Amino acid sequence: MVDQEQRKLKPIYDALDSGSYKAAIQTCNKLLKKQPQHETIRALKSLALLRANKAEEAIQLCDEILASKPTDDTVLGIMQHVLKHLDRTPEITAMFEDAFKKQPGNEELGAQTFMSHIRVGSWKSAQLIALKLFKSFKQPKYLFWSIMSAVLQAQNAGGVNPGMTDNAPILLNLALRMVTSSPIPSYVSPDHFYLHLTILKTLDKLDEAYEHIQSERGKRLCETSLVVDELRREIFLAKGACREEAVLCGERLSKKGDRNWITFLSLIDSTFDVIKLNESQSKCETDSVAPATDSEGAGPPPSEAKETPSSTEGNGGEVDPELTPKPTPHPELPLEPQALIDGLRELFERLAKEDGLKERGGHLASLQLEKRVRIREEGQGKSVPDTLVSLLKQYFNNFSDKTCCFEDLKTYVASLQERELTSWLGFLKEQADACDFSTPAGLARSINVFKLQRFSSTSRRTEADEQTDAATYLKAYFEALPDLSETDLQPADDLAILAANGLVSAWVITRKETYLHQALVVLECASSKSKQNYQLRILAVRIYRLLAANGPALSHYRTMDVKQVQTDTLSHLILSRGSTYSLAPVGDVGMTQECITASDIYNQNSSDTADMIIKAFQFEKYSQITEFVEFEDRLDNSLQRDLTRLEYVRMKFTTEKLEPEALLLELQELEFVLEKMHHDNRDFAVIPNYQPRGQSLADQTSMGVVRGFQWLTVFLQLYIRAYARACRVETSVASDMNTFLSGWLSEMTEDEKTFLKFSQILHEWIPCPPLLSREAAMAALTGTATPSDATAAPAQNGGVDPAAKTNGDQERKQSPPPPHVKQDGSG
Amino acid sequence: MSVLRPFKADDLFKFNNVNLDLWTETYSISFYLNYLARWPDLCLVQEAPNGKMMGYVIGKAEGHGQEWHGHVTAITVAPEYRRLGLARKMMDELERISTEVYNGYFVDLYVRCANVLAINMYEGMGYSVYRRVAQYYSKLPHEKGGRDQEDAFDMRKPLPRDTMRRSVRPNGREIIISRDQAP
Repeated sequence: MVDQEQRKLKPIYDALDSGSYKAAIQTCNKLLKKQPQHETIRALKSLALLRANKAEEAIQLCDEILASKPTDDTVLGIMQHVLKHLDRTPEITAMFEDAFKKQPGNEELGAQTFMSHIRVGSWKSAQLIALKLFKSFKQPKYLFWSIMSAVLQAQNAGGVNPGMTDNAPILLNLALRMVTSSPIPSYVSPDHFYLHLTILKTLDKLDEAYEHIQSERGKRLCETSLVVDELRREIFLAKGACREEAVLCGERLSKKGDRNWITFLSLIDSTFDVIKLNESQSKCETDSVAPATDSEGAGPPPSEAKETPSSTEGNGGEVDPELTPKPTPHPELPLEPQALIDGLRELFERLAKEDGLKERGGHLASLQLEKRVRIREEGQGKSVPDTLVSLLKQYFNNFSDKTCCFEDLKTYVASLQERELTSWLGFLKEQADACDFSTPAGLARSINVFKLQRFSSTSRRTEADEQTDAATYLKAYFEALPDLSETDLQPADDLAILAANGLVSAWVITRKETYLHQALVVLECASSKSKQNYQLRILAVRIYRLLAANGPALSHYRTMDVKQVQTDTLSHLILSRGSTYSLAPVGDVGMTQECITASDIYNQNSSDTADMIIKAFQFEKYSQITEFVEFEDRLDNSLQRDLTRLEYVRMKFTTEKLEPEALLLELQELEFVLEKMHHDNRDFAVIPNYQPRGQSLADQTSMGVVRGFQWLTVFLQLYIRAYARACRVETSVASDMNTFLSGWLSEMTEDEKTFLKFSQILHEWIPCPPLLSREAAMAALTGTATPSDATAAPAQNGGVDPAAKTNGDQERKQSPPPPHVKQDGSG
Repeated sequence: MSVLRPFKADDLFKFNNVNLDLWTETYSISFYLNYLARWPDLCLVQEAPNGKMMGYVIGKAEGHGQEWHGHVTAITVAPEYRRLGLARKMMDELERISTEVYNGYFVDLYVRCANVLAINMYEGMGYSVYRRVAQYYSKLPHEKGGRDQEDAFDMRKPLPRDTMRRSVRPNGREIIISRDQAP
């Protein structure tokens, strides 16, 4: 029977798979003549119609099927595809809910219903369904689904204002009760344990979390799971257990061969916390009127707690002594600050000696320690010893043949004082004089010397300085350049990048364009010899754009093959103020095409990331779920996404005739964008920077001030106001932008400010016609057309979303996606 | 010397300096998230003290019975951080997790037969060729192609559980299977 059914449907599936949608529809029709009510065939027909771009028929059939409230697995699966394709995801949830209500004993349907809630971010409904599933089918997995959903609800994950909600404590306590009542303990897997600890930490039940971590199973999980160990460290620090952290890190380094830099850092940080804690406690004991034996719960006055400097690295150095109710010294740690510091020194020296030059950890940790000692001593008004410079020299001598030596030392050079810098620069000068480009090690060393010299330079730099330096780097470049195959990176490339840095500086000082031309000659030459070097290309893109030579910029950008999620983080390189260079009016659609390409990833995100969140639930990887939801949100509400959208609107204005019926829809989309909370994901760190301290090549080569949230807001409002006037409807955007936006202009160029003024004058000059309701405006704009006819138009015209789908996307086009789709009813 | 930490979803916003290198492919969002949703402990990042990404490894656990093993899907180090032993550290950790968490028999990886540098490096880490998979890779756009370009070596390293050392054989290079026979 089943076989017969499968044989019947196979031709339809085959036709769908091979893209022959017409054939699929025909087969469906033929079969439906015999069995007009066959649900699966009807569902498949709806899917085939949709794929064949017959949206209206597809929607009609889809609605009929939904009205019959199907329960069959296959039908539900197909309808899920159809609804997803139509951007009607919320209805998927209702469909599964109805089916599960009709067949409450069907476990698979229940699980599907849960997943459909997860897909749209209805954490509360998901939590309730999961609990129901657990009660009916007793699988611990469902209980943990419910726990995770409660946590997401407490975090308001993916909501408009993510962060702890008011009812978070109630939800988290509920989640904790569920964990405790679970038939399986949380330590069955790192991910269950992670979820348990997250709940305890968020509820501030640090002692309880600590106990779990210190249990035998807990310790084991910390050793085998980096995710759990990260959380363990956060809990230790939050609890003020710096002594335990210091002992643990010390053991891992000295006995277990751990060379993770995070362990070194945490050992140093926690040791300084211990010092602070010891000092505040001993001070407290002396100051206290009460007998010195009772130090429990006593903390120092707040002013003194802050007396010692804390970490400048942002490692959370502050310790609140009130969090440590039993401040008993650790038997393995000395009490004296000097002894503690000396202990670290000895440990790092020993590790450096044991590891030799194979491992930089111990060597660099000595520098990190001296930096911390220096901050502490400066805070106490002591004079600063010379140790840091001699350690820098030592490190340089050991590792200057490694490319990363410069990056390693940068932060320590930055903390040198003027007097020390002189000595350090003298040392570098000696090294520079002995430069040798004939061996790979010599070349790497020379490049490190140049980078460090440039970074450490103290004097105010002149045009002549920059010219001389650029010439030095360039000479070295040609001397060092061996003849390598095309697929290799040239080790000398950094010299060309250094020269370009110098030439850009000379341009910044003098504004003589010739320096930019010279920089481009250097970069083009180096790029022709090292085709795979993306850094050369990025710099070339930046400089070509400064010179209004968008063509070569675009061609370098395309050679880098920026794709997938990279388009979100890197498209700013070419699309920042991209409409300036759009040649669409003369038929070159290169830039508009770039907008469309760059916007594709956002569709991928909305269709695929939710599937992966569901997968993480299926495989019970609770440590990943919040991260996935945040990732989806960051990409969905990306600043670059809407900057690109606006660039696209501006490019379109110069080429396409304004379609009256599209205006209102575009207005609604822009209003929707204005409501968003944006995330800035743009990657500026990828732009190579070898400028002197405090300067940034990314800023120097930016085409106009770097744009941010304020720029986006101003421009959105400007266009929204213009669209609203054109459609004769009201909008919440202020009509006088002169006063409203006075403090918001810092991200605009002079030309943009003038444009804003122009728009304001125009707005005031053109008489305002009588306003209409939105429905009336739509009817007026479309003439006699019915609203559903009108909605098909913007898709063909592109809308304001460069990656808007062009298939029967009616539901969404009629009204922009509600901004709170992801929020729970209760949220 | 570097921070070894878990690969996280938002690392996709940070991996440009690694992925812009010619030899590192950038896949769809689902590719990375699928690995994280299933084997998060086999996906690791090496990070420089200044927060820059140095490299990462993405792995999985698969196979039935005595074929149960850890697999390295992708391992990459940014050009400026090569020759620092980072790949070895990531492999060490992946092997440790494959042993302690997954209790696998071996760890394996695929490499182009022509990539002699990489093969030497893996041999230095204790891997050996178990078999050759014909036509496993597609031709590189800038290379001539040919058997060694397109065939892969399946290299394996036994873990303590493989007491019989079944994942090592001396004549691995001569044993050829087709792409369809490979898992």
